[in-house]
Amino acid sequence: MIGSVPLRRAALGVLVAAALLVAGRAVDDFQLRLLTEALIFGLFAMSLDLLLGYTGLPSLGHAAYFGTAAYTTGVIAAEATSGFWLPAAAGVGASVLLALLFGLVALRTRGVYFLMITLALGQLTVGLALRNRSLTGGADGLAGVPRPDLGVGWNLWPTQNFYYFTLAVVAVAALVLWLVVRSPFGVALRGIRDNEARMDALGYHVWLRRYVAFVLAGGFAGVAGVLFVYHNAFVSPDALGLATSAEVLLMVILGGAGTLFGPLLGAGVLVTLNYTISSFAERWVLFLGAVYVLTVLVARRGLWRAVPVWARGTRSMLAGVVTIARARTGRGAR
Amino acid sequence: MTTSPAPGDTEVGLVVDRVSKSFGGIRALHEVSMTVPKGQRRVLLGPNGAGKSVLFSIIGGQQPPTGGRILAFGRDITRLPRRRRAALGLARTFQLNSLFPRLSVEENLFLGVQALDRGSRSLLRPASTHRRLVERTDELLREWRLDDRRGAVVEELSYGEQRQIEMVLALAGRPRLLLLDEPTSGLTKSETDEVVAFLGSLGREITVLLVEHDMDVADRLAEWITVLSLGEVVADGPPGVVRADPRVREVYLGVSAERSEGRDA
Repeated sequence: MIGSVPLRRAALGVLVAAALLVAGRAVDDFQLRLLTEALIFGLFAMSLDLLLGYTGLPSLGHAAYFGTAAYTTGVIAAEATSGFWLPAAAGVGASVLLALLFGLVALRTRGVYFLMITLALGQLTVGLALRNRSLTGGADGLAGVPRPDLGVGWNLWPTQNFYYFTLAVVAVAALVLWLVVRSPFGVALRGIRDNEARMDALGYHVWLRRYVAFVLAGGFAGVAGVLFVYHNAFVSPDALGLATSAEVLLMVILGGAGTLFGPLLGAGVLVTLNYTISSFAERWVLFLGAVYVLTVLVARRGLWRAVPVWARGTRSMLAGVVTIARARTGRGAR
Repeated sequence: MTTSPAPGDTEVGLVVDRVSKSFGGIRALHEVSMTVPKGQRRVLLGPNGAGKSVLFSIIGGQQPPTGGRILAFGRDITRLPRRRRAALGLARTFQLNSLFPRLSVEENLFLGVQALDRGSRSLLRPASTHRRLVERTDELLREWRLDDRRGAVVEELSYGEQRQIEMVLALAGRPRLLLLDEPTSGLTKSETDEVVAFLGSLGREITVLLVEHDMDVADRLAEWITVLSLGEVVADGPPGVVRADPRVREVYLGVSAERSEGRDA
């Protein structure tokens, strides 16, 4: 059935959700901060997967929407209000507006040209952030963004509480994204990815669907950006730039483009690696490159798809060993 | 040659009116005209390079003509966007299979079914809960005996199966005017027979225009044949008449006999 979920997959989802819920009480503050960051980048990566994996649009400027939301929310939170809804809505709204605008330009191109134009548009936002020092703090970044007051008596300053808050937001956003990719619209996106000309001949408004996907992806990257600035209490032009865009692209590819939840896994792996390696080595980017090469060599279609294959491989290898052993002992007994 | 009826004639499915097409200095079509009545099975015949596929993509909207008009059901569609043509009931297949290789058979058909349905705009409801779309998809799977292949990824199917899906995809949206670009090319004898039988079973509410360069297949399907050669109509009439036409023998059969070895290249 179209869009139906295999039971095993659903069970895995429940298991992961339960583990994430328990983790909030089971691990220390440092690890919890790590997990919070992994969830935020996971959502960011899932939003990019909507473009790359489902619509076939490889963006190298997706950080623009993430960073724009982070800056917008950060500025309002630092200057105007300790409330949550206004800065958050403004942040997501800003990235949606940006995507509405940039989409008009970027969607005139395809493939490598799309990659280049999204890269250029992304760097444009870096330039804007550097130029408007009075608002953004320029190259120094915007510091001292306070945790928001939800207005429901839930203090978000403790690491544990902010973790659960992030988990809730990411879960809701992931559910919405999951519904989108399972919907007729989601099937159409994959159709566009596979064969744009046929979609067009069948009567689909291909451009409009791409545009909607582009804006949705920008919006969800914005949600991640809002969480990011509250989590970090700080945002710099790095959050808008090429390095961040490339890193999130790697998260998607590592986890598995077109799997939606794979990028969440990819983000978890990369965020953890980043912290672990940074603690004893300086050249994180070097390791990032190695991870990329390894991904391409060993798990080109991503961890999400590779894990079941490896599991099957191991199982059939074991089964083979067992069969051989049995045959040997059987012969021996005779 | 048949005369062009007045635009708006409700008995007419498709009118090609003095259509020309040049690529730079090369003339692919020169003032091609033909009129296909509603419900007719028309075959467009001609050797390789006669301009059949170019004419087809002009009717389908994949390319604009250099001159002339196209009318479908009395409406001028010469400059109509492709998705509007599809909404008018025009569907086409491609000479080379044009499918969604990484999607399942079921998803492929689903894309054909929902193309012209408002349900395709649904963003937050799982596809599997759109009953009308799912039922139509199931119906097509049963009708075409693809039921046991529904979950198979299309790129892993045999060529014959893919060729079949190419046609089912075009039919999924219940078109009124069906353009088939060499539907039997590359098929085995028995697969070809199936396609011919199926086209024979199509309802008369569907007008069919078929490109073919195999004279035998054309003979079995056609109620009326239009022969193109070097971008011009050289004959237009019932199969018997066209077969007997000396010009057709000269431009088509002559070439065909010469090339009978590499016909499907």
